[in-house]
Amino acid sequence: MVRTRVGYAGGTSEDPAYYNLGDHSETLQVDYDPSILSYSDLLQVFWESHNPEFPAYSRQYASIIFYHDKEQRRLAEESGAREEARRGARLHTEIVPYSAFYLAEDYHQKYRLQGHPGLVEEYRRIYPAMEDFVASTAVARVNGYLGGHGDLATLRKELDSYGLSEAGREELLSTAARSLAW
Amino acid sequence: MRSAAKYYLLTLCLIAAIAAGVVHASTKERQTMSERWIPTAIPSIDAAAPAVTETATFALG
Repeated sequence: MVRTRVGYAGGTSEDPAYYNLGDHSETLQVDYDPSILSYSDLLQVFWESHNPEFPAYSRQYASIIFYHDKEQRRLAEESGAREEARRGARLHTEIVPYSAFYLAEDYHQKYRLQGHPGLVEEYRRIYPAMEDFVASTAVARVNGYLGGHGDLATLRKELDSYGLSEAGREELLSTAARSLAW
Repeated sequence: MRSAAKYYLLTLCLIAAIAAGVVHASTKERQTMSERWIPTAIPSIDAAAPAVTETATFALG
């Protein structure tokens, strides 16, 4: 995973915002290195991350795969069929062509990291512009670990490359150790 | 009377000196803390980010 960002997609209204979503859905967009991670790997994470066996409570929380090309469409449809067969249930996931993505407000980006003001401050000193902060691989990784994802061995291996101070490293490691212990 | 005034002035000077010392120490500590770590370069994982990536977009319910 190289970059991550959250936003809104799938609707028809222009420039949606959190309190004016229209018919858009909350969406995650990731840039990945296809030589390391495959689209099928991401689809696996997609199915494991939520339960689409029930219709969405609202359009805001719909389950949707936005394919960017024919190959993504083929892989998404095949994996959707496999997932339905595995679960023995109809899934309420839409598979639709990607058209537009609207970046969510700053306070939604790297949400877990934003609960650690010291770490945010360190990264904002490196990346004063919000768009650079959001596009940082280091920031995305740290946000993921703070959210309890990943594993401690990889974190320790990559820690030097994240650009944090000694105090920042300690905070990241101690928080990750607590959340990954569960 | 003159002696009392001198004592008063001396006390004022002492308080001012202590206050100045506290402010100086506090400023020095802040400077030391901020100088402890000043980023000079982007994180190496960002510098090594691949030039070519693919994009995936999902709404996860």
